[in-house]
Amino acid sequence: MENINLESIDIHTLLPQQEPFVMVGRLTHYDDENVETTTTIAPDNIFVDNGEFSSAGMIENIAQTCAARIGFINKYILKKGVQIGVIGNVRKLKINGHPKAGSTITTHVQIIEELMGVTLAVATVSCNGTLMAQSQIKLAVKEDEK
Amino acid sequence: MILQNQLYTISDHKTEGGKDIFTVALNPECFIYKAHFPGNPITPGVCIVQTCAELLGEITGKKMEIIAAKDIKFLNVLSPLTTATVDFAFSAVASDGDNTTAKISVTDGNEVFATVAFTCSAH
Repeated sequence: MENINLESIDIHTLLPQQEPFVMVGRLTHYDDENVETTTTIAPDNIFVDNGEFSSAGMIENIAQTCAARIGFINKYILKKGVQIGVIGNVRKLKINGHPKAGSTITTHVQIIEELMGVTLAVATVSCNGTLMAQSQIKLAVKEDEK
Repeated sequence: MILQNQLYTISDHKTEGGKDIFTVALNPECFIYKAHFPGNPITPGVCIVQTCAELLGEITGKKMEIIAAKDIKFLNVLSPLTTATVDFAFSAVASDGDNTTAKISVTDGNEVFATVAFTCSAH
């Protein structure tokens, strides 16, 4: 785990999702309780409508940031395969704005609790220092590996 | 991206006791299912929520964008291979100026796949 350059990891190797449903760019920070990703919103992203990244896109970006964290742990720490994660719930979601296509968003996820494959976290999505979305999210990992 | 006519089509829309119920047919050939996940199509939770927003737009007559959600629960995996059609049953639809809140139960009469309590605004 020492000296891994997070940003050099191809996010596709951490996730079971395939394009065009990959909604997260690269891992920029990992520690026991926090993960951060940055994502540049391509103009042809499926969740871009009228030049803006939709609320659904931001929810998926939050979920995939959680999934990328699990993927990182599986690949680099536990040395096992990619697992499929499903969202258990999303609560207290607030959308403050929509990032424009072409901009880069930073998604921060703080783990509140993790037990038996179920992760509870709080997440924020920011763009140029402005909060775009926040929510609580629960994710569950399915036991069988890819 | 509009999911209607890509991920799903509306096959029925009825009102029971003042509540709108949409029956939607899922399209297992949709590119979303091929990506999520290959060989194991699972309806992404956000697509269930986005579908709720689109169907709310059918009720309000305006394009809806999600601005808040109190509680969205995903209870069972919704696969187009095992569930060809599913009902989105709306309740407690209330509009206040530009914002509309609604509760939706996504069910095939047997299993509840998701429950959504959210607020959308006219976009």
